Amino acid sequence: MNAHANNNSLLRNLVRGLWRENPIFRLVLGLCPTLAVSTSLENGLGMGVAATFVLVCSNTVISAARRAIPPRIRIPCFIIVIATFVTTVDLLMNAFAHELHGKLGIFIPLIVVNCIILGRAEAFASKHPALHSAADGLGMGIGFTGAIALLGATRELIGSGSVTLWGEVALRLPGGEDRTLILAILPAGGFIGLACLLALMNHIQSAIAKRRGGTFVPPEHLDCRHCIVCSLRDPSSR
Amino acid sequence: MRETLRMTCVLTALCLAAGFILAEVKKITEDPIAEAKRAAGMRAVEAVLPPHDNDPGRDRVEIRAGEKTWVFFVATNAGRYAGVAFAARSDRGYGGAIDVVAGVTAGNTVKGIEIVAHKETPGLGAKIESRAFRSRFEGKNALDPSWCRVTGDDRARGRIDAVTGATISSRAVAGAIAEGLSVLGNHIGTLSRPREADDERAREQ
Repeated sequence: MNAHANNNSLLRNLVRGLWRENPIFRLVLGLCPTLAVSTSLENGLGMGVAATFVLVCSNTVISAARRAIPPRIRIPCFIIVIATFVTTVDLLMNAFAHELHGKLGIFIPLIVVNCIILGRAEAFASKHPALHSAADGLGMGIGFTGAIALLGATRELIGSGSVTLWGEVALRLPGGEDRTLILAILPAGGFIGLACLLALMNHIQSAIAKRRGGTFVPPEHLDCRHCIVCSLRDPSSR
Repeated sequence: MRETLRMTCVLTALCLAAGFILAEVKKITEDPIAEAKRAAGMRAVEAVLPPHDNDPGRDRVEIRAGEKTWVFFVATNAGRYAGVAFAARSDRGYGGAIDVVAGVTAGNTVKGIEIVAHKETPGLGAKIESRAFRSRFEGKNALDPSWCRVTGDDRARGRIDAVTGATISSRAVAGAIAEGLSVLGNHIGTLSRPREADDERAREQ
């Protein structure tokens, strides 16, 4: 019975990041790499996989060491753990996925300061057991990958007329290269594209809520009101 | 005081562990990274060289010209000079340095160029990678690179139409290639000399 409940909450921790608390669409975290790298589907997927790897590893290690880390220096400790994994990914990618590494460039090292990773370390991994933290990291990572890949595919399709996956054209815009809108793959297109996707998300959620006879109100714990990352108070004194 | 000591110890231990792990990862990845970089460069060199049966990566000639050292990759077919390729870099790209490779045939015409690395704007400057732009260099005289300028800069002689909206990127590529070609023109005698002669000279010394 107990094991069953445990499995249930493990699954809940895994699924939460996919949609209900999707890091980009719902938590609106980690926007710097999201906007900068989502110029194509492949870039988005590469960034997502790299961030997911870091997220799972850092969540697991931080959770396992959470009782040994003194609360006052928890943020520097988290950053050291995260930076170690990011550098590992950077080196491995450079060695075994050289071309992708060239495309993602500076954004791989910048995963260190990706809010999603520090946010999950602070909000989840430092309070929950290792297995659950790994599940949370994996779910959040997949949610991040899905969102950035969707944005990347949209921008690539509108901006260059076709979507490439594994070096082959997977989807082509009717009208081909003549009907492209370069704006979509320029930086401004990132903001516009993300805004459109967020508006679409909100529209869908409002429609669902309306059908159920209510209005959509984002849960309080999903916006700034709950956040404790910026406050360096000792959590034991809260 | 005790807490300070504990914090110091934890942070030190954590940093030591991180340093150790990173040192190990670096050791493992060092060779594959160097190999991947070399392979990417050599793929570009192979793509711009005429057919050959030697390894241009081994038959390379380094030439100092001014501040820079140029590396020329010489291609031979059945022992005869077949062409040469060189790597050039421009620091005048819109987003930073642009690395290019150009190949020249035994008849001293440009065989083709490849963009190895760049940081130009996607959708604009990045179009220097396109076949349409790169093909504008093909078949031109490699020994007199006066054509190798953007038409907008030199209406009389320039033969390289810039990519629309990306004149700076196009100018950087043309500039790097022109510089490489002029070095090539000064040393074409040395480069196209039969390799056996080179070996004999090495033996004499």
